[in-house]
Amino acid sequence: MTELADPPAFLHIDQLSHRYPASRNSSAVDALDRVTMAIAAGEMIAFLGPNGSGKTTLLQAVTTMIKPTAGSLRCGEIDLRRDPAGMRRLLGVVFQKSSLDIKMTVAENLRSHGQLYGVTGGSLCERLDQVLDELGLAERRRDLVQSLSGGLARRVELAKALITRPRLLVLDEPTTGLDPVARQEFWQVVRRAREQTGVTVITSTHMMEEAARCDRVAILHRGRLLALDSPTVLQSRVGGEVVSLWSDDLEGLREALNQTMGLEGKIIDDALRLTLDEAVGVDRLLEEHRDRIQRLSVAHPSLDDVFVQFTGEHLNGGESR
Amino acid sequence: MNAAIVLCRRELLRFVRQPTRILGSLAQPLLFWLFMGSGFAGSFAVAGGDQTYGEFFFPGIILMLLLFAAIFSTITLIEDRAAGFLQGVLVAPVSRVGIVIGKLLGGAAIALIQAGIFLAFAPFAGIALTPGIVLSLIAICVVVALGFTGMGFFVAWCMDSTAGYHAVMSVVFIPMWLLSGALFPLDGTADWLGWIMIFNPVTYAMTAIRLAFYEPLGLLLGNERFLLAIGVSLGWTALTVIASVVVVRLRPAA
Repeated sequence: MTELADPPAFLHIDQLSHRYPASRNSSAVDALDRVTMAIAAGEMIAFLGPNGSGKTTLLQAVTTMIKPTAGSLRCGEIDLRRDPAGMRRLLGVVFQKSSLDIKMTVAENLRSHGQLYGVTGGSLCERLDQVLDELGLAERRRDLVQSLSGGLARRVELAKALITRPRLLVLDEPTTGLDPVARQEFWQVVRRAREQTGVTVITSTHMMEEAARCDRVAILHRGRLLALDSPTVLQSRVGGEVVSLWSDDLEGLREALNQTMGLEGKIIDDALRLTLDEAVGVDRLLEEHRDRIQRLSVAHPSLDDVFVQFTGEHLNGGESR
Repeated sequence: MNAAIVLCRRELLRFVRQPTRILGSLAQPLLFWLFMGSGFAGSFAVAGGDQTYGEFFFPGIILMLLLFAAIFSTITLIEDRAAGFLQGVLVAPVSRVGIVIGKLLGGAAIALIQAGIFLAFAPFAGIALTPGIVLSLIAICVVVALGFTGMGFFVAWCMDSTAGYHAVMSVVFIPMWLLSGALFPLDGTADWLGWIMIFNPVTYAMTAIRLAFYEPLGLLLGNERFLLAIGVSLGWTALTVIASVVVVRLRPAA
């Protein structure tokens, strides 16, 4: 294991399960299935998984928005079940959808939120100035939120979560709907805040490039935690190089590779995907099967490959056969 | 109490920041009163009285104004709860009761401002107001506005879509006003209608407001009809507020 697992854990999740009961329009769903993990203080963890993997349910449990059906969750000394109000005091949350009042100014939104946490008077003003400065929002403080761009509005959302000086920052797919530049800016601000305050960050995402920049990545699939490790360790578990092959006869090619070279390929979407180690290189593959292969791509394993390895599915939902 | 203060202030801030809403909320009752008051003027007569329809309908318009103010301020709850401002409030360390109180006080305050402005038109309806009458009317309006806002809060919190709320509004809320004695008096209606009106809590709010337009508070407190009306109204308000608190605890989020 990496050294990250060594510091005393801050957030303990133990056998956490949640079942959405059947309703008129849907059958019962096990959104979380005995998830167990420990997160150290100051760590930044990404929950990676497609829609329906349980990541939002997990974050809703952490933020006290749902009561999980089984298992326990502890943050520092606070037990979620016994003291949800105590838990809320530790949290700063950025939701998938906006929680800003667009008819109020940036400063009014932040001030209201501070007041909800009992921060008032001089210390509220001080924190307000500080957070606006740090997040580069000082010049927009008197602007109505409805006049801000999507990226800036998200940054105000983050300022709102930080003004209460949380110990646990929860980001639920915070960059949904942002363009790549705004997305990058958002994460820069998060990382800076983390360096300055040492806040623990947990985020959910279905974007690999976001997960790859966290300390550890938790892979969730159908409510279960399949893997939890640093991005590099996870990528090295896939090993070798990842090759995708396109052919008119994918099934035939797969059989042939299996018989002649002992390779286990998986057909995902319209390509045959396999991992090569040093024993079988791309050269030999091409030499022996040139006539069947129309196109070929070689890459180092990405977190998407990790995801495929663990679940047999692409992050964006492609199914493997 | 933090939540109550923040939510109540937000409610008022949003109201003053939307000039079209202010204008609409005053123009609509005024137009209703003008059009219906003139339209029914020829065909309406109160048994044994010389009241014009414009005068009869004036307290009814006050009641409508309180109802619509409550509807407008609570319908936003539906969007706010699942994806909006309330998400942030619900994960904050604030009491759930504070959330209800803040929303109710904010909604009721807006209703009162509107009712206060509309009262200035009373002389045009032929109703002479004294300061004492205005004060007792305001006190009654506080009770009724809180009851309406509580009712709207309860329904909105149970709904997932504004369409659902609109349905309840058109088949429950607006009929409650129609059958409260705001448009026509209780006496002289068909029996079945009379029964509905007797069981309609809004009828009592209407009675209380109507009586308060003509009698100073001292006389009102000796009037049995008024005491029954204000008693039922207070009970109804308490019931809707309690129901709102209960539903917020039972159904925390989306």
